[in-house]
Amino acid sequence: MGDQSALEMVYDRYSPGLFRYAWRLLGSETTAEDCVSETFSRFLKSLGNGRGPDDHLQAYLYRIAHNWITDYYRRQAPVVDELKENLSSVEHEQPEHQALLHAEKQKVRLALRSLTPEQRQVITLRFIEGWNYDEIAQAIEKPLGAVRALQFRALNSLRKMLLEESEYE
Amino acid sequence: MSDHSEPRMDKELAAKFGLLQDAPKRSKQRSEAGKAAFMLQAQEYARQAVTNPQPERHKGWFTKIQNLFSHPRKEKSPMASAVTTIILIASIILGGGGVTTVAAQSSQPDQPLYGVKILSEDVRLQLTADPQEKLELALEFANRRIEEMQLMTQSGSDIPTSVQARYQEQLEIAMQLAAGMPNEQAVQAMEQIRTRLQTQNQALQQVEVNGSNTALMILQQTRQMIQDRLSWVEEGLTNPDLLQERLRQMLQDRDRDPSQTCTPDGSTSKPEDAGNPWTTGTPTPGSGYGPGDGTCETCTPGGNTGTGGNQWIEGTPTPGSGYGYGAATGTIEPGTGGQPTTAPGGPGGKK
Repeated sequence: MGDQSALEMVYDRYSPGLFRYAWRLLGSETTAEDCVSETFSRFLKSLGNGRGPDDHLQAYLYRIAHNWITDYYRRQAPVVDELKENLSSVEHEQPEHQALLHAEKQKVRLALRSLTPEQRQVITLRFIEGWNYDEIAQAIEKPLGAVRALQFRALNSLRKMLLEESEYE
Repeated sequence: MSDHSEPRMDKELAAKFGLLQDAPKRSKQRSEAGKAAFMLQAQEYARQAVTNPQPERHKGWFTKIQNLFSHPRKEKSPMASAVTTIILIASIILGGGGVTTVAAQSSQPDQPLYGVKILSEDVRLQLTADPQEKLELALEFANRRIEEMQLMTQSGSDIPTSVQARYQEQLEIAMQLAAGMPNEQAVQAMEQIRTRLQTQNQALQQVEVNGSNTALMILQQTRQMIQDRLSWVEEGLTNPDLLQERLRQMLQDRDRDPSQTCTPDGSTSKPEDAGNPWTTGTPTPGSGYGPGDGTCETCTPGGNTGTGGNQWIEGTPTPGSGYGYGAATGTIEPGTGGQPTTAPGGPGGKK
């Protein structure tokens, strides 16, 4: 491993994960890129202003991204996006399946969106990003007990929205 | 919902979340454009910080990053800033950090790319797992500090205390690594350190001081410290346990004195009149040394609890059911966004 500049290293290390995180919640590659870009911009601004993280850079960056997504949700009404036109050959073979899958993903996103920002952050980091409780506690700056309580309430809400509802469909 | 149906339902919920796992492959072009914009913005902040430096607050490697933006310079050089920007952009276009860091390696402490040089050293040390390789790197980097001290003294500049502190830090890394090696290897490593220290001591002895009293003072302090550490190494060669004990004691003293915080560029926040930072003897009352009051803000609380286990269950687990919070033994690669490496119900993921 040769020398690398630290900022490039930070970008290379964290931007792919942040992109995936943003895409999972936003469902749009363009908006996810905007989120990544704004996250790193805010990170620089914090450092330049003498603020920024004392520790746990990853948690700090995800917190910025989360705040950006929350602001985005506030600004934009939920959009039911259309299936992309340039489907791959495999996708062309099963267009109905792809449409159902797409709708299902959108439903999960909408359910997540209906949670409180903190609940959404806990659920996304825990179950979609695979973080442990300590890491989540750092990211949301709350004690472990609070993280578990948020998770408990969020899972109850999600069960109602995603599972109980579908039983009657 | 009864407890009986809980696992089935949670499995379904897990499947719903699983739908969002497969993120699309990120466009390389957009990723590189984003990175270029980020680096350009970093340079812009660096340029602004030249005329408006911020007070230091951060600790650890974050401060090191921040120092890239707040490195104090005597005068603003638009040309230097433009050149730096061009180098950075070129490094991105050419596909890596090589150009930047090659340019940075010859930087002196009063130059803008010095922060990159220092940070790249930290990164290399952090990413080197083999103790012998790490020791050699630490010694090489310590040697760079001596060369910087030589050059700055010869040119009549003041030597920032951060350079001296960083030298000490890198030397201590090498000594700790040597002390932690198996016996025969430890002796070889200590001999290696001894040779380096002798050469460095000689080099500083021969430096012609060109008018700066501060530089002279720093040189004298550094030489004193080198001699101090040389005696430790000599002792360590006959009694490795003694060296280990000295290093342990030194770290303990430093932990008790939270005011002596190393910043990314190695400077310490200890007040100027707080005594000689190189002394290892009994602290003078009121000198700022000795045990602290136990109010260390930066101390990491000990005793992490295991927080893995079955992520779908928040209730009280049934013993033997495989649910609940497991022992914290798994790993999660930072930034991978992946799942914990341990399966639900097993040991918990912990970084």
